[in-house]
Amino acid sequence: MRTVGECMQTPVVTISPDRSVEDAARRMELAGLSCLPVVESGQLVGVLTVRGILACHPNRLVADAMSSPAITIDPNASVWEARRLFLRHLVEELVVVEGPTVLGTLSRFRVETEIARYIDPLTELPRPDLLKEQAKALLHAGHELAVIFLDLDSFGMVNKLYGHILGDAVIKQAAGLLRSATDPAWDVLGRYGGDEFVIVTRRSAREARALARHLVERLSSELKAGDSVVTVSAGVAGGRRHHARDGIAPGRTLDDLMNLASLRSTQAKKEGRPVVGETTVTQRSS
Amino acid sequence: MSSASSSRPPNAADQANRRRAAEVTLRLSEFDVPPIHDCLVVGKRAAVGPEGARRMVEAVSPGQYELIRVEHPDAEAVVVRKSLLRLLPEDKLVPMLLDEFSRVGNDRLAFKVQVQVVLQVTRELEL
Repeated sequence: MRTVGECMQTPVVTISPDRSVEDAARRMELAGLSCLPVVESGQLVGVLTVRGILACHPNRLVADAMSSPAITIDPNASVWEARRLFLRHLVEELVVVEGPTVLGTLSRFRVETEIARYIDPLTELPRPDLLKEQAKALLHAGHELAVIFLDLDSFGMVNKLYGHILGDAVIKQAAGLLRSATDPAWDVLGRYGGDEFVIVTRRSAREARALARHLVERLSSELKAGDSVVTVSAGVAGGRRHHARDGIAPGRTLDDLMNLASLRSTQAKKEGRPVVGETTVTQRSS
Repeated sequence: MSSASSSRPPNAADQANRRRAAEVTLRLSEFDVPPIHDCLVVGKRAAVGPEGARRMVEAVSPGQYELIRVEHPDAEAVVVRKSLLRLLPEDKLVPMLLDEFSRVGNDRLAFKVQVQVVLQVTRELEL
């Protein structure tokens, strides 16, 4: 997933709080910017946005039109983290800083546009990169995580027998069924690949295996391609708590969980079992 | 003043007939320090904002005024002379100012207000 530094707006044009709103608007127009960080005596004291300008008389001081304090973000943060800040603070612009240095600005529109690249257009579910970011946030919050990996059986045959249009319809139907059977407060659902879905859940390993069994039963009974029933296999990984601690890389831990769950779903398919669980996960340092 | 209506270039005679003058009027009056008397009620879309008003009075009358931000449909702040707040508590003065501002003002205005306070004191002394 791209970082804030890769998406931010540059060059940086700052303004002093004792300049007029009219002057600020002119500067923004000339530079083609959507906001100006407000700096006084070398300190970032606020941010002036287009909305702030529109709401004010042009004669007013920037100090009377700016949003203060400015919400800042590190250039190495992901755009998903930026989105969380936008939702938490209900602002339109973030100021990208490295220590005391203002590097650029980032608009909510830019972030939403970027996030859209990580959403699967067919199912409207997160793709793996976004799913990992959401899961990393859960790990950082100290939640126990388990991963359920679901794989539609013999899906290649569905495409060959009925065509890709019907194949896509089956994938959409599967996504809808998974969405209705999971709880967004506990589970993060995503599409991993062609016929594979992933659920990162805060449930315990035992509860995750129970959910996996329920999902396999439901999909295998309701998912149809023409006259054929489409069955599903699932693998589960996770179990112990996986706090983000010093020396532990959440991304690597998640990769391990997803990989294990994927291998278990392959095992389930080979052995003709609906669900195979895995409860031992090694935390990986970066 | 005359103006050339033809398209030919002006010759020396035309130039001689032209005369331009400006009349200048000066009006002098003493600058009020401070420029607001007792209070200034700042409308949400007024040409001066709360911070601008605060900096203005602080520049000409340092330490004499206080900025009070308010929740009101049209006004966003009141700048009040501190000495006035020693006579009238903020919770009595500010609602009264905002009430009057609502009757005559709108969010595009900044109103300066002169406040006269007469205290009536009756005391009984034992002789």
